[in-house]
Amino acid sequence: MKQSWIASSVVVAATVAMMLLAHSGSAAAQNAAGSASAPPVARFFTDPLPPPKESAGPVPRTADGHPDLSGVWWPGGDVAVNTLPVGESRAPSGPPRQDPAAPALYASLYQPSAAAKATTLSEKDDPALRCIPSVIGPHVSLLDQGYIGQIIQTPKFVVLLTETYHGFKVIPIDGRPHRDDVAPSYRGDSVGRWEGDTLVVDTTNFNGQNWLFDHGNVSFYSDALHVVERYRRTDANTLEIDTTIEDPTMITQPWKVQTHRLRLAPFDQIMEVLCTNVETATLMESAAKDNYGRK
Amino acid sequence: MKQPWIASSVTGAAVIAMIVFGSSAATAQDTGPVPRAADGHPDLSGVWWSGADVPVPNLKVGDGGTRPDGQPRQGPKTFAGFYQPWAAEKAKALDEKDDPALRCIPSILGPHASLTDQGLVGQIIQNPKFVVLLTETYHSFKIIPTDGRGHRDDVAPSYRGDSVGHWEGDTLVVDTNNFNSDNWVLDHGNVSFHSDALHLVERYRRIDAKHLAIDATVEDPNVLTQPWTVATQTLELAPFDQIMEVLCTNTGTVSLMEGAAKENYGRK
Repeated sequence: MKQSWIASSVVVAATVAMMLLAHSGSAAAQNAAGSASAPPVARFFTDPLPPPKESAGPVPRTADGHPDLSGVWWPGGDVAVNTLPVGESRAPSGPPRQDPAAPALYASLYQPSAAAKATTLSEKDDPALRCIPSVIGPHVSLLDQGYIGQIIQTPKFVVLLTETYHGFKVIPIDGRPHRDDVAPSYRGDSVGRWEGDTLVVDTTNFNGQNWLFDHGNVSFYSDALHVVERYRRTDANTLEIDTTIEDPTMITQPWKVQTHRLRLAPFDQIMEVLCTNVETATLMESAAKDNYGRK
Repeated sequence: MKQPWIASSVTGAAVIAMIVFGSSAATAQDTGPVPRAADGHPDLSGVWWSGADVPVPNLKVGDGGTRPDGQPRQGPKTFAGFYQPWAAEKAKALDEKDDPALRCIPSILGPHASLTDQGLVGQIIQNPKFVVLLTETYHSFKIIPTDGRGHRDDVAPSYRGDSVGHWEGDTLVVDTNNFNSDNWVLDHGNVSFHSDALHLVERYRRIDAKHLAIDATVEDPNVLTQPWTVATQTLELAPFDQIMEVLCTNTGTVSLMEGAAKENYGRK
């Protein structure tokens, strides 16, 4: 099986912000979108895909009756490449956001001290440049710095595997509370529970040393960060993710992240895309030349 | 729940090398029946570790004749024990500081096969379609399809290669190829380069409720004179079922190692 659509890259958000330039039109992507027409194209990688026009079929379920979120998930459409401003509430590389209906960003909710701090930082200060994973990627924590993630689900755990930076998050879904015996970490400690057909993932115990990445902006945060993500498979080919982020020491009110919508990819295994720091730039260049390793 | 035993480290293999010499001794008594998945296969799921303290020696490059502590090696040869002459010559020019693991690049084999990479704890997640190996240290994963498919023909060579698995009775046989040659092999206290002709076959067998035995055979016809059969590694089921996040972020590796050691690796 060929995987002709490129969605990975050894990339660091702030530098290349990578991203799926291009390509497309692949029949695979169209199939993944459940439509015979051209796949929807996001203007920015930050823009969510529109809802599907018609259902791609029933949601698969596991033996215990819950929706099965397993699969490889990606945006299913082209995205543009932009640099990532730090803490600025505006579109990537564009003028300040004018659309009053546009969703608020984390940085638009900064407390004054945070806003002042952001003016002293630039994208080159992003810890992602040192191979440190982000709290959330372009589409919440499933994707980290890339555009493809894979979910493996068992009755006890939902595991998020990210292609770029090649990390993972283990989410117990058996009703246990957060661990009280682990140190704060870059990806935090997650527990999940089902609310009807929605998997609600609660993540705390972040270390405050990495950044957030969403909607074309990057930002520092504090170790008081609390992320609640709601994963819902709305049909066979569509995963919707809603996120609410609290950080009372940095922002004035909870940040409600715009709904992200991902498509089921036409392959069921992601690749190995590492960040090894010293050679990141080299890898990025060669990855771009080599079609990201997909022949 | 407390996790009192330290089994992780943010380490470059060549620097600290928390290594298990030879195979760890499995306890003899049967700890109960092997759990099985709904499809009848053994359920390999769980957090696996060596269950005992291990010494921390330096690693030697390509020295198949001695242990890392300098004593003559007892027991089976290592990868370097089968070097072709040119490879033995090349190894003389290398040092542990040449280990790509120091640049946060994962190893082919950790102290315990592919499961643990540079650390000593790994977690297995199993569903009917995939077995996924999660490694705590270097915090990464390997996806092993077990539904009978062949190797992918559309991915570039990678550090961990491309794996497929199949069940032979109660043994999960994992075949891995398509490695790049940019990382090293780590096992039995030695590290070594390899070629992109590397072919790894691992056999995972849950021998009772609390023990996982792993056998591995490594072929590398460009580097070795014959296949290397790795001594059986036996791991114990850990008393917790989630591993932690232990990243290698390169520039911070040394300070992370020191901090991790001071803080009991984050386990309170």
